[in-house]
Amino acid sequence: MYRIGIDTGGTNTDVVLTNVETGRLYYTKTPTTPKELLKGIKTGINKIVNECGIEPQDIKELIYGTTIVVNMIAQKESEATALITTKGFKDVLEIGRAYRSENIYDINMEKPEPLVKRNLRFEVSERMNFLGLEMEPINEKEVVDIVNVLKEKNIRAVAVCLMHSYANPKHELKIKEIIKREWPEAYISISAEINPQFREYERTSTTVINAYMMPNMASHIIDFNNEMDKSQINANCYMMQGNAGIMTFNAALKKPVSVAESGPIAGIIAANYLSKMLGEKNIITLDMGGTSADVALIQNNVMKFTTDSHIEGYPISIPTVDLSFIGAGGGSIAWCDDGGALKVGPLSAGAEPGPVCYGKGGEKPTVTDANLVTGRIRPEIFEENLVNAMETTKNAVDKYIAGPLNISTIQAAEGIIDVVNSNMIRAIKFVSVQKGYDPREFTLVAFGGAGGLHAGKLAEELEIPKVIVPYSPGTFCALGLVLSDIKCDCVHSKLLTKDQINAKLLNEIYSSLDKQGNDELEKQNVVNENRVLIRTCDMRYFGQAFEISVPLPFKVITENDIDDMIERFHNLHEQAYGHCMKEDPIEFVNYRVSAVGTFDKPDIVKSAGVRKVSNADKKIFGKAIFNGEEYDVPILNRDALNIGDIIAGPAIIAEMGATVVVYPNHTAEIDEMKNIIMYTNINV
Amino acid sequence: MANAILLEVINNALRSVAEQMSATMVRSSYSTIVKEMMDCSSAIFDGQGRLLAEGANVPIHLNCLGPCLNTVLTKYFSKEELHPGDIILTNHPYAGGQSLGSHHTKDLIMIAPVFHENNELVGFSVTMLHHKDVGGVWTGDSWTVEIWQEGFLMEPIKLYDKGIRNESLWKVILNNTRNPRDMKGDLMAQISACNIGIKGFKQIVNKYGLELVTEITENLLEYSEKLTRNEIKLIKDGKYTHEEKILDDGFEGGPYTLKLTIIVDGDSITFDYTGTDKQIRGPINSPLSATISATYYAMRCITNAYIPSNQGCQRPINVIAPEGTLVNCQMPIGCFQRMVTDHILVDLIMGAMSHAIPDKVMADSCGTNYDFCSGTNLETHPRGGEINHRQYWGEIVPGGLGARSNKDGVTIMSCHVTNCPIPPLEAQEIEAPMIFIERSILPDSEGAGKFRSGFAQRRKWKLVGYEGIFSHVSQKSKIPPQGLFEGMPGETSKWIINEGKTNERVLEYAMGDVIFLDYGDTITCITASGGGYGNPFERDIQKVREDVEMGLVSAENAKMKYGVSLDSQTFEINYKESEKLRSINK
Repeated sequence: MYRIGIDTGGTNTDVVLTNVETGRLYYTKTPTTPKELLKGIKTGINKIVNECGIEPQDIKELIYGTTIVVNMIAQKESEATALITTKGFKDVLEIGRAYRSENIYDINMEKPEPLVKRNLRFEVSERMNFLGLEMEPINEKEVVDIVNVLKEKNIRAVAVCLMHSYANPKHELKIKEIIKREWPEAYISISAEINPQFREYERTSTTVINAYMMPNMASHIIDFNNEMDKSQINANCYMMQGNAGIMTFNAALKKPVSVAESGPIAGIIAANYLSKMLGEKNIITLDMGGTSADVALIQNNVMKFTTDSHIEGYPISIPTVDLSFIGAGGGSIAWCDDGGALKVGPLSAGAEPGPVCYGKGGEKPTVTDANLVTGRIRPEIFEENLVNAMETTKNAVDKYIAGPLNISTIQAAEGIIDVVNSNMIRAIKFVSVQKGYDPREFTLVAFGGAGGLHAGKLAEELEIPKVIVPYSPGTFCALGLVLSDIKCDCVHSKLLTKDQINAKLLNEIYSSLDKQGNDELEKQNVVNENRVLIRTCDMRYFGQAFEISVPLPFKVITENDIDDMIERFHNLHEQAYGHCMKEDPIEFVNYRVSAVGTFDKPDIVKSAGVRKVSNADKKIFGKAIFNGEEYDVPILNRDALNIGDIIAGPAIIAEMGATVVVYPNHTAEIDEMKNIIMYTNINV
Repeated sequence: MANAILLEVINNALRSVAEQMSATMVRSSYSTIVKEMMDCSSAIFDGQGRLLAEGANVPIHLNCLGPCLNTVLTKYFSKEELHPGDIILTNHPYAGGQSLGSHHTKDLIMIAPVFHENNELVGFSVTMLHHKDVGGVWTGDSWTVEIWQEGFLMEPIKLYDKGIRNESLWKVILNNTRNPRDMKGDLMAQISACNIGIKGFKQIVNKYGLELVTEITENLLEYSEKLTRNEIKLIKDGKYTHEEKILDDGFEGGPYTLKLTIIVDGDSITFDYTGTDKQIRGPINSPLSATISATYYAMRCITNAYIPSNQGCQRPINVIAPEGTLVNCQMPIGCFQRMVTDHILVDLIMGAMSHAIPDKVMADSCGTNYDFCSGTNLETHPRGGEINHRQYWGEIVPGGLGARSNKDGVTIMSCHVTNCPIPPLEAQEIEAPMIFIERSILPDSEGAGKFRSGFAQRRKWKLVGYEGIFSHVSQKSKIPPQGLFEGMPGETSKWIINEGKTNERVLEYAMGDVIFLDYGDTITCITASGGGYGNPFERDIQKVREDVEMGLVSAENAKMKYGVSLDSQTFEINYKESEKLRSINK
C-alpha cells in the first residue's frame, strides 16, 4: 500500500512516497507554483511515481500539507465575508484587545484590517449570560432580515459569534438553522462549533477566519480532486492541521481554520517520531530554512500545544503546536546600523535574488554567504553552482560589514554567524527556559537546509549535549506527513471551582466530549481499534487568567483522580513559574479531548538499510575557519558514510540540499538509520 | 572591533532574561490589571545601577525602575549592606525625599542584588507589579489629596534578608490589603521573576566572564547613546515651545497649564517644563520619576523606536522639572492618577516637536479614560474577591489615537504611555456581577483632517450586583484632543450614569470621588478620539466615501467636515458639488 505526502512550501514542493508494508521511502522536490499550486503538486506526483516505478492507482492515501490558508489571508484573496454578533458587539472584531504588541514606541503602527468589513457586520437582539442562561430570547425576524440582505448582496460566507455561546449554543444553532433554511448556498461557521471557549474576541476571530476560508477551501478541494481524477489517483485524501494531526478533505471543508498554522508542523511530527524510535524522550526541534526558523520543545515525546497563536496578526484560539518562529534563515541579510552594531535580518534575500554567492543579483551578504566565506558551505558539493562565487561574496562581506566595522573579512563572516545564532538562542530559550525547561536536558533535532550548519554551535552555547541531524534534512518535513495520524480536538468551557466539581460532573463532560470525538472519527472512517482519545483539562488558580493543561486518564474518573489532577497542576505550575500555592483554590476552565485515528507507519529503520550508497567515497580536504583559526577539514559526502562511522570535528558533511558541520571538539557518529548524531562533549 | 558582534549577542541574552521575567509575572499573577492588562515591568541593571535591558509592556514603565533603584542605593542601602538572597521592597512615591520612587502606591518595586563569585555585586534584578489593593480610602481608586489616602506606604525595606523572608513585614502587608490572597499570589509572581533575573544574569556573567561582560555592557550603553545622539542631530537646533491645558479637576476647577520648552543643541536635547503650574490638591500630580518616563517615551516615538532600551539612551536627554509642580510633585500630595498628566506630556512634546519634525509627530490622542468598579452578588459570584466577596472589574478604556503625517490615526487603541490590552468582556462577566450592553466604535467622533484621527469608543455596562463602588477618569472631557496643521480637534470624553433613563446623570467632572451604584444602574463611557492632521478639505475623496460606506462618518458630516457630497444610500459622489464645496472652504 502506497502513501504519498505532499508538502507545499514557499519555494519548493516536497514529495515523499512510502510503501507502508516495506517501509521503503522515496523523496523528490519540485518548485512550488504559487499561482497554481496544483501544477507543482502534479509535477511532483508524476516525478515520484516515475522514479519508483508504480502506477498512480497504487497510491491509496494522500496527505497534503498546504499553505493555502496562510496565503489567502496574507493576500486577502477570499470573497467578502459577513459576521453576525450579539447586539452591541459587532465592532469587537475590529477593536480586538487594543494594545501594541510589536514595538510600543512605533507611532506608525496599524491594527490588522478586520477580515469582515464594518458594513457586513450585523447585530441580533439576544443574550446569554456566563452560566448559559437566556437573558433575552433571540429575535428571529432580525435574523431573517439579515439573511435577506446577505442574499441580495450575494455574501456566501457567514460567521456567527454570540456572547457566551460556549456556555449555551442555542441561539447560534438557531441562526444556523435559519440561514440554512433561507439560503442553503451559504457557508456557515458558528463559534460554538468551531471554538466553544470563552474570550469573545479570540473566539470571533477564529470563527471569522474559518468562514472567510470556507468558499476558497471548497473550490480548492474540488480542483484538487479533479486533478487527482485526471491523474487516475483514487486515494483517500487528508490535510495536515496545526494541531499536528490530519483530517479528511471533507472535514477540512467545514473547518479550514485548523489548516491555518500547519506549515511547520510536519517536520516536528517527523522529528518526534524519529526521536521516539531512538529512545530520545526530550527534544528541541530546529527547522531552519532559507528565510526563517521554527523551534519547538517536546517533552516525553508529547508535543506542547497553545490556544494563543496568531496568523498575520489575527488570533486563532484552537489548539496548535506551540512553537517559536524567528525570521532567521540562510537568506537573512546582515547589516551594520548607525551605532556600529552588526545585525542579521529580519530582511531576507529570499529565493530571489538570494544570497550573493548564488550569483542571481543578490548584493548584500547573508548567513549563507558567511557560511561560504568561513568554508562551512562547500562550493564543491553545494547544490547551487558556487565555484566562482567566493571572490564576489568576500567583496560583499567586506563592503557591507568588514569595512564599516573595521574588522577582517573572516571576523565579519564569523560575526554574522554568531549574531544569527544569538537570535536563534533567544528563540530556543523562549520555548525552553521561559517555560521552565532546562535545555541541557534536551536533545536538539536539527533539519531544514540550514539546520545542520548551525545546530552544533547552538547546542554548545546552550550546553545541549547531543544533536541529531536526520538523513535528508531538506525533505524531512514531507516525511512527517506520511507519519501522521488523524486528529480532531473537542473542547468544552465551564468554569468550576474545586467545591463545584465532582467525579460525576467530570464524567458527564468527558463522555460528551468522547462522543463528539468518536463521531468525528466515525465520519472520517476510522475503525474502532485505531481510535485513541486523549483527555486534558485546562486549570488555574482561582483568579488567574492563563491556564495550564493537565493530562488525565481515559477511564471512569473517581474523586481520587481529581486529587491527582490537582497535585499535577501544582507541580506543573511550579515548573512553569517557579512557585505553586498549594493552599489556594483551584479552578477548572476548559475540558479537552483529542480524538486520534492512528495510521500504520512505515518502518523507517528498514528503509534506511536499502538506501543507495554512492561511490563518491574519495576523501577531500578543504580549509574552514572556526573561532578565527583555520583548519584543514575533511569534506565528506553523506551518502558515502557508513553506519557506525565516527567522525571527529572539525568536519563538514554535505549532501543534496543541506550541509552539516561537526564543530571542533565535537564528535559525530552515523547511526543505523544514517542519522548523524553529534556530541558537543561538554562536561555537564 | 569584534565587540560589534558580542554587543548584539549579549544584548540578545539580556533582553531574553528581561522578557522572561515579565512573562512570568503576566502568566502567573492574579490581579486583572496584570494578568489581562500586563501592568508590570522588569529590568536588569549593572552593579552601578545603570539600566542594561528591560521587559516593559507599558511605556510609562520605561526606565521607571532606574530612578527608584538610584534612590535606594543613594539614600537607603549602601552596597556593603546588600547580600545574596536580599530582596528590597518599596511602594513609596516620595522615598528619599523627592518624587523619585515608585510612580504610585500600588506599584510595588522589588530590587534583588545579583552577586558573582566572591560576593562581588555585579547587578540588580528588578521587578515592578501593579497590585490590586494596598488599602486606601476606598476599594479601587478614589479622589485623594494626600498620599496616605492612597494606601499603605513602605520606604525601601528588606522583604528578604540573606534569603530569609521578613515574616512580620509580610503579615503587615497582607493585613493592609482588601485582597490578601491576590496580593500574596502577585507578590509570589514578582519574587519568582526577580529570581529568574538573578539566575539569568549570573549565567551570562559566568559564561563570558565578568571582565568581558563589563566591557561589552559599557559598549552597549555607548551604542544606544550614539544612536540616540545621531537621531537628535537630525533635529534642527533651536528652542521649541508648546502649551497644553488640563481642565479636568473635580475639586478646584482649573484650567491648569503645562508648559514645555525643548532645546535642541547639536546631539543633546533638553526638556524644560519650567512655567508649568504648581501641584494641585488632587491625584493627577506626576512624580518626577513618571515625568522622566513619559519624556523618554515621547523621545523614543519621535526617534528610532528600535534602539535598545538602556541607560545610554538617556545620556543625551536632560529633563528640567521644577519642584512642587504638576510634573515634579512633592510630599505629601496625592499622585496615583499621574497618568492624566503623563499623557498630556506626550501630546505636549509632540506639539512642540511639530515645528521641528512635522513628519515624525502625531496629533493629540484620547489620553486616560478608565473605570474601575466593584460590587457583590453572592448568588452569581459567591467566590473569591476580597474578604467580603466584593468583586472587581474595569479597564483602561482605549479611544482614538491622533492622526499622523501620512496616515489616519488608529481606532480604539491603547494610548501612548499606557499599553494595556482590554480584558475580554466574557471574562469580566464571569468574574464579577455586571453585564455588558455595548462595546462599539462611535461614528462621527473623529478629528477630521487630511488624515483623520481614529474613532472613539462607546462602552456600556450594567451592574447586576449590590453595593457598587465606581470610580472613573475621562481626561479630555472639556478640552478636546487638538489637531495639527489645520487638522480638527476630536471628540471629548463623557461618562453617563443610567443613560436614557429618568434618573440619567452625566458626570460633570472628568474625575472625582467614588460614586455608589445600585443594582441595575448602567454606566456609559464615551472616550475621546484624537486630533486630525492637515486640512480636512484636502482629504482623499475616496477615503471619505469609504468611511461613509462603513457607517463611520455620516453623509452630512462628509459634507460639512470634508466638503464631500455623496448619496447616503448608494455612496455615489457628486464630484461637481464636492469640488465647489472644497474650493470655497480651503
